[in-house]
Amino acid sequence: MSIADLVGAILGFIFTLLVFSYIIGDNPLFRLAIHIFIGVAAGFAAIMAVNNVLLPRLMIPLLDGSRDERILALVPMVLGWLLLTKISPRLSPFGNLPVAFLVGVGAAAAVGGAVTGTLFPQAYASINLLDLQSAGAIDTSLGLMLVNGVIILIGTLATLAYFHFGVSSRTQQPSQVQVWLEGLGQVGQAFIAITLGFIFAGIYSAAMVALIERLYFLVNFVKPLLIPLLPSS
Amino acid sequence: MGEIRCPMCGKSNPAESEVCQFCQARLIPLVFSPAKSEPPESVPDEIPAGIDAAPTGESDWLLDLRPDESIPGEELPVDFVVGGSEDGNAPLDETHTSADDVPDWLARLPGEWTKEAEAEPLSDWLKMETGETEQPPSKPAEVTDWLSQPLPDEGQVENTESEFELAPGEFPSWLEVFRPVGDEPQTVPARGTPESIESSGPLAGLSGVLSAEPDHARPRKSPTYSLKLRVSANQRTHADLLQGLIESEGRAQPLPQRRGISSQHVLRWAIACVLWGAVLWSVITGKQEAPLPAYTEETAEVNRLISQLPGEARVLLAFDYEPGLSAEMEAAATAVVDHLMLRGAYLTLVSTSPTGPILAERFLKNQTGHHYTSEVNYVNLGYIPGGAIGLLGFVENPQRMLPYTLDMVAAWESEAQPGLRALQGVQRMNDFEMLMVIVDDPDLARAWVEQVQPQLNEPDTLTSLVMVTSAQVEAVMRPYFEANPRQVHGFVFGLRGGAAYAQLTGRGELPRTYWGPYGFGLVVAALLILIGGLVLSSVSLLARSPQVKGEANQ
Amino acid sequence: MKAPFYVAIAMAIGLIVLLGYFLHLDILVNLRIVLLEWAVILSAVALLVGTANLFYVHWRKFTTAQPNGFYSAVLIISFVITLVVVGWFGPTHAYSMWIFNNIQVPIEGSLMALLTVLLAFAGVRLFRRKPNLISILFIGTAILILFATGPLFGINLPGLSELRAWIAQVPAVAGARGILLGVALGTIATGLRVLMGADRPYGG
Repeated sequence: MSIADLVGAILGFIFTLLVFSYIIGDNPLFRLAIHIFIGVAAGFAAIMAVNNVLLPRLMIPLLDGSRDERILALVPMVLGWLLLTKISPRLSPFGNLPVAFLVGVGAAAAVGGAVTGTLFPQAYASINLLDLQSAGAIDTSLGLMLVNGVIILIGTLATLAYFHFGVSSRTQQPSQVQVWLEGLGQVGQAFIAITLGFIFAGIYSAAMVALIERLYFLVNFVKPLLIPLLPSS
Repeated sequence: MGEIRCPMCGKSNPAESEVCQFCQARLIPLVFSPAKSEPPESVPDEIPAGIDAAPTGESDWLLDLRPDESIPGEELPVDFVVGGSEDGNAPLDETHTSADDVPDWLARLPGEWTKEAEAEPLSDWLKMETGETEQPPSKPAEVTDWLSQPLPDEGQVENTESEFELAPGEFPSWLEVFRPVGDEPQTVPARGTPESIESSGPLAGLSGVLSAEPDHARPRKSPTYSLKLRVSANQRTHADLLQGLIESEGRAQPLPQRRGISSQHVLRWAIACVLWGAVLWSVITGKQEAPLPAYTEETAEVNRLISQLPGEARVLLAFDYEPGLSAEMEAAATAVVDHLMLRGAYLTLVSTSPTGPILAERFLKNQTGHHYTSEVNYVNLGYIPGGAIGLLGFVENPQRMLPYTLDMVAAWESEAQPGLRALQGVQRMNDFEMLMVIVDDPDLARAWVEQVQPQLNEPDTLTSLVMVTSAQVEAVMRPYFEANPRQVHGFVFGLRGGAAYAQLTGRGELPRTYWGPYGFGLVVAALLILIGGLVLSSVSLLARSPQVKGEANQ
Repeated sequence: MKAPFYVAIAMAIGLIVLLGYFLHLDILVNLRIVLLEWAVILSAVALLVGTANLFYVHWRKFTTAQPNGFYSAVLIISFVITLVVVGWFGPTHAYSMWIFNNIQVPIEGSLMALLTVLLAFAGVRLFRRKPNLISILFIGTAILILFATGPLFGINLPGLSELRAWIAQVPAVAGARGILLGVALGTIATGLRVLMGADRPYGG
């Protein structure tokens, strides 16, 4: 193990303990570790943005590109400078133009992706649930697949009913459709609870692996230090 | 006496001054003052007596109004203030216009008014209020019967008045509505002030006429108005309050003082001790070895797709996870990427996270047993910013979005250069044999499916999309896998999936190491939640029941 | 510049990008790629703006001697050191990797590990609330999946893995698909509001 590795291991050991000290409660040691982490993460992010994006896609075309490339690079250059004005509260209105640009592209990408990537394919998948032949139900129990398909279909519709956005009726008596949707929404709530419980367990599993990795690291760090102290048997 | 306070700038001036020495604002209102020959009935009925008390017109009620009076002068636009005096001018001129100059219908009006005024002599109470009780009117006034009767408290009223001037409360209620308001002094003649006699123009010789020449024709320094905002104490208080609120927004609030050690702390420490103690024991002893899990359909699909890859296949490998979840993601992906390397696939690495390219390098360095070299067996194209926007751009034209490697080497094949081996023959996304995304975030996983998968639907496309995800993404990814047709062709989730894949290939050390403590830790955690929750709910139920009984007894 | 100008920019750019999903005209495709390229560059600039703002805020906290200014100083020092080392040697150099492997990964990993206690604590506290069907379903599913995900002390309880697989493939898929469709519909509604100028997150 080199000196650099040893120092790195000591640092990792110390930082792990500093963060774990949060179990006792919020304390200065924990805050120290968090601020160091934020500084390092921000430093990496800034360099990646410059090194991986701005240099190759903005500076190189501007300095070394053809005439067309230079003209094309000039626009994001100007927009980028305008966006930098967002740092100053006084000049920040100048940054609205690039933000409007980003928002327009972002909204279009989100809408296009949601329509072509989720809405249509998933709606189609829900319709196809009971198409047992194409689902390859030949080898498996047909009845079981049918039951499962019906449950998934009802669950999907009920979950959507729970999320439905509507204007509440001004009249005292809710309409028949509203009553029906509310009932279906209750069923949907149950499906959502099961899904969220599943996700909760997933997050817990991910955290557990992180804990095991850290404990392995601590044990592997401490073990060589403790072995000489242990009585040889 | 001797000084007049300027209503505009608030500074003191000599009593005889017509205009303020400081701001040139007029001190004496430009008003009509009736000639002495005119009957006293020309005095408006609503004139309070206090006005006569002093040439400056500082009666009690007017003193009360003074602050309000000065504020409009400051707050209103200059045009408005100036216009106010001009407006006051117009009817006065009209009043003094000779009968020859006005139309008949208008000429009759003053006469009728005068007759009415003569027919209705000033009543005693009004005389008192106007302060003219000691000065006999220029014309004899006939007092009506009901008014000629002495008021029951007449003497008392006089005494009171002499002592306290006129109090606002002494107005009869019906008269209260006629009480002058703040701008009244501008329309009321100020008694005792020297009245100028018009020296020129058609109104020459008349006194009390609004003098045009001295005020408007005389060259003088243009008035300057104070820019200092005058606010009342109430307004100042509100302004201070608002300022304080705004300032406090940007100030970090001190954290509330925590109580010493609460039951919550004890519970948290207990959970930490039991859980971490159990996992630590498992890690140290290594006694919790357990058989790896059986593979499931989605894992088997990934294995099948990798096994079917042609030799020297081009695979796009996205490292889209954060360093915090690197333990899980490395454990989940190690056997899968190992399989890819065994197949001799050329890897192209990208990431939509700034730290992703570094995590990719770290991951490949840890894949011992393979001698994958940068720019030979794999190429790290680095970071795609912008989330879904960047992904869409990369899918549309990968060459333009990421033209260089992380080390600034031109990566793609072109007329000028052959390009790196890992990217030879690749022009667009569909030229990759496989897209594999290692992702820890459900939203990011969804963005990959939404932006990339529709591009793979083109006919003759053999590119498959597979995912290696965190366990928390499993629920979100499964509908895409269970869809018919499949949007994701296979996926490996979390340590369980990674361990299952290791079981399939017989390789992958990391998931095997973690698998035992992982299962032990999860079971301990589940038991802790279950038992701890039941104990806590029982305790709270027991604590609640005496309260309920007590309430019921009451 | 007035708000309608920004609205027009956002709408025009957005429509070009959106149409590219459905129409595959050469001119539209080329224009779309250029716009996306610009947007990606601007996203990188936005990231820089974020880090610059972070630096500025902590610099001000440090120089004005505000409470916790010490932590701001620590943050600034770690930020500058990382910036210098990674910027000078490159992100994949051994020095940069050393910082990454020995500072960032341990701290983030430890933060993730803390969740094991905090989530278990939250799960226990859930029982203190008045139980209803939804909370029982939530915590019941979570506990069942936790039991069934790992090896249960090496014991193979019959049906446990099958039950986990059924929950994952049927009710969880139903709920997740409903949520995904709901999110997609919400995204479309929000995105269209932005594209039509009803929502203007860019000011004006």
